[in-house]
Amino acid sequence: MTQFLESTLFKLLHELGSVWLFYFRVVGTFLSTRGNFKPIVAQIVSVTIRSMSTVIFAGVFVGAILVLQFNMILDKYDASSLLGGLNTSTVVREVGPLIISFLLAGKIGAYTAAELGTMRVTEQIEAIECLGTNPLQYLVVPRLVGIVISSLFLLIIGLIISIAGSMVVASVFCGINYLEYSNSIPRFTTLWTITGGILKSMVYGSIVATVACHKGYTASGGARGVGRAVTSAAVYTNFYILIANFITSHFLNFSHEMIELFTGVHS
Amino acid sequence: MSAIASAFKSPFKNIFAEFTEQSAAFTDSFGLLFQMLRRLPNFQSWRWTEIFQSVVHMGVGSLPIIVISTAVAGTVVTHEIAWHMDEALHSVSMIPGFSGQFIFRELGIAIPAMLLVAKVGAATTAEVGTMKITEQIDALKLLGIDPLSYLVFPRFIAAIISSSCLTFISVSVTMGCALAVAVYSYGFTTLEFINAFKHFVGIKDVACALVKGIVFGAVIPIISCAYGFRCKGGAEGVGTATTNSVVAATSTIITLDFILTYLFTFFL
Repeated sequence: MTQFLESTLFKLLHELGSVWLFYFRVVGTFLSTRGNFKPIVAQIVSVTIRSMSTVIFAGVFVGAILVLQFNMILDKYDASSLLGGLNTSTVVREVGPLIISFLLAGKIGAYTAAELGTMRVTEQIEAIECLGTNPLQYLVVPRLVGIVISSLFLLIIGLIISIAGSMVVASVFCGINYLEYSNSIPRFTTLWTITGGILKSMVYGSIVATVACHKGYTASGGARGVGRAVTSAAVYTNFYILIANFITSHFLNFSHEMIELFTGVHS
Repeated sequence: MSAIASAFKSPFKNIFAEFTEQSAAFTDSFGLLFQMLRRLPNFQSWRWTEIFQSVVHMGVGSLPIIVISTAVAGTVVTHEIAWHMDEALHSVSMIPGFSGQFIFRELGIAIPAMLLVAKVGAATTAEVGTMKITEQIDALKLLGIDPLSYLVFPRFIAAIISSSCLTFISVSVTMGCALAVAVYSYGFTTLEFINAFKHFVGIKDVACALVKGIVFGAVIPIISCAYGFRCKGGAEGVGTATTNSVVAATSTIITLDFILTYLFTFFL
């Protein structure tokens, strides 16, 4: 048992360290090289189009599930009028970015890991290196930066769709009309909530991009190695996203309190 | 500009082929589910050693990651609920009921299911897909062994067992974290918390957790094996199949979550 825990812990720390180092290397390459604009835009376009359907689907259902769940609980307190505000705030702050980025981890993360991993095990990356091109700049920078930016777009679209979808679900399944639903939204959802949601989306998008690129880039051991890279990319992305959720939530609460303390503005 | 223009075109190029592929895989999953349910009553054909090995591999293998993740999620959600309650009703006295019900019905079940999809589902698709493209499944058929009973059925049973156990573990871990947060940050005493919790969470919520755990556990191996069996075109095909299976399983779990939540909220 001790050995099991010890090896798990070691593996985890090893993973975390190598992902961070990889991230800094890619960002360093991005900042020190030029001519990355076109491939990044191409990557953003293709990733966004490819995952749009998944994100819309996930957004609608996340909102719908939360509406049903909250409605059941709020009914007991006779506080159904608060449903819209509570639901929107929870979706934007917490659950929306979490679940949508889980799906993005499956969609984009696994795809990128498989693509880069196949390139690695068929020695295409070594061939690029032999031709005197930096594979980090040529392959990884457009993917990583493109995925970060496009997942920010996708998460924002997903959150908007989710708010709209939960409004429809509330009126169809719970008998709360649109006006009643949207009436309580401004009470809970402020500029700060939206800022927090966007910040979280950015962090999760970076995690999806970095872990997928790292796993694909360092894949080894033939076709089986690619499979392993894809699996561990999906697992570690979800795991890191949950940890990051903890850290960003506390960071956001802390900075919110600090802002209130120093500016005196209650937002 | 040509790179960007081709990026615009490329996802639409094979949209029809992809749609047919996805719907065929979806139909396959239903067929596979039917086959599994037909094999269920035949107790003589259950391969217990295989099932136990798979349970250890799936359940115990994903235990650390699930425990850590759900613990973290439980703390965050309790803080969130407390914040919202404070904002809405100016009191935090409802933390036990609210977070207990939310954890039992949604959070403690959906998050381990998602993690299981990533960990177990992707691995299963990669394994079965590799077997398919290296023609090991054809070899099994040639030997007169039914690949469904031999490969899929043990995984099906093992995933159901390990998923329902992991659901209970994660629900208790999450509840423990919620209790700790309530006690240390919001001034509850443990007894107070448990009393209020018992008032709101009953056998219905436990049944909801169990049913959801079993259903999600059954979904994962079926979808990942269906995608694995449809794998073709070498190593690249395995990568594509894995990606598609993770997305399909996650989407199916979210959809089923909605349906089950609806049923449990309005009819039970």
